[in-house]
Amino acid sequence: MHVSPGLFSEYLSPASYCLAGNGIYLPHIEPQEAREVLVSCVNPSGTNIVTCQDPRIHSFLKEAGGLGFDIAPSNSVAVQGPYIPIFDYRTIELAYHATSEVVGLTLTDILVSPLKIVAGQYIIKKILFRDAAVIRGLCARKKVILFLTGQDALIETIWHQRTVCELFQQLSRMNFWAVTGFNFSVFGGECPVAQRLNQKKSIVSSLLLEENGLFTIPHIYAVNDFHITQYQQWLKRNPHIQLVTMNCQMQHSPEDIEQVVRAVQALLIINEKLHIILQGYWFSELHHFESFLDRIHIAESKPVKYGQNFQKVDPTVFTKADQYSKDAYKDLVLENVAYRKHELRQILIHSSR
Amino acid sequence: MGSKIKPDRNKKDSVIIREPIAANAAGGGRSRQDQIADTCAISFHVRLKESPLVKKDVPVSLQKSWPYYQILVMASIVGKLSTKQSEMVETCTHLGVHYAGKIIKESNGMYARFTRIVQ
Repeated sequence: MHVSPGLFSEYLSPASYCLAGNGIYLPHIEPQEAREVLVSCVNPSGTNIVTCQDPRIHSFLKEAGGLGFDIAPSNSVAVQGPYIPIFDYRTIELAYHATSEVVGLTLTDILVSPLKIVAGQYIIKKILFRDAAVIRGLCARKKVILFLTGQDALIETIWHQRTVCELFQQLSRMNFWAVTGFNFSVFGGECPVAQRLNQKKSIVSSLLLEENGLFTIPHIYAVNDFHITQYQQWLKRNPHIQLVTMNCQMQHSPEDIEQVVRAVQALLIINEKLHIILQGYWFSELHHFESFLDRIHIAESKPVKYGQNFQKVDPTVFTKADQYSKDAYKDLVLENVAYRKHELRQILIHSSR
Repeated sequence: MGSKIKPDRNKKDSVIIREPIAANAAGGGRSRQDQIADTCAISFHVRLKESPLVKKDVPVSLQKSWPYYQILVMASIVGKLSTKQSEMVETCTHLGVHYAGKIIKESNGMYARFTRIVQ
């Protein structure tokens, strides 16, 4: 369908109006990437993303130091065990008893009830950090990874306020073993400038963590081949990076899982020492990784959430909420964590045969 | 939020991206987006008096009658915003924001609930 330039043409034919199509963001964004735009880059309210047509784009590019993947943290950490249970603030003392050497927390767990829903929307109430001593207590006994994942309303606000709320100083006081880069959203079909800006912001966040004395695990999202190529080149230039992470909690459709597998395989093939932590990736889809499975680690909060709902993760056991006492969730959480750890081990053993 | 190969974001998790603080501090004033995020409430409620027109789920609109905004069902006035709410709506209108309203029923009475629509 031919669309004449007019009042709504940017919405009817969004790909034609993405400024990246003119090549002005080369070499970081290929003009062909604009052809994949499905949602208009006209976003005057700045909702969710910063597009090529946002009048404030230069401020964001300045903050991120441009769109080039020209920076990287200089140190890297390595994990051994394949399974990383993610606990929360309520269950933090249970994490002491987990058999995994490495455990996880997420951004929301180090803040006091940061979110509420108003008119069907998440909004931030107030940025107030939990008592660092409680977190430090766990970090003294376990290797704790803080996953900077969560709702956009949370991570974008914390990122914007990072200096005001003294984020990095707070994280340093908590003594995490490692902190992941921020999980800024990257959606296919949206402006490629917004995608690349969020990918770059995540790398910048890793660098800032490192500058504040924390070990960091860079976070990666790649929703198309252009992104994969950019990350491959970045990893080639930075072979010392031996651990990255990807939050997979939203990738459940066959197409999304296929893209995760393609991206992960393409990255792992670049550096044989590289490992990746997949957060929230389904066990049932692990077989796709085939020979790369020994370099994949799974972090998840499922057994902890199930336990707190008085449920077992073992699908053969049916439980009713009223069959347990109020405190029984503690045993259920630990039982669930042990079950999932064993389940993953069995999958890996079976796959290696 | 996360990532997908298609642009289907979680509607509950929507945020106005604010300009970096360093850029704001450099002068030139706050951007429109920041002003919206700072000024225009995502949602607010106004209690309504019971009347035959005040029914659950009925859409309501706002009409300026300075110094207040009146709440209308069809063309009939069923309530008004407070001075503070009226000032906010007035400011936000200039920022390209309007509020969509409908009547909701709470345990202690009927309310008009307005939700921010950013253009």
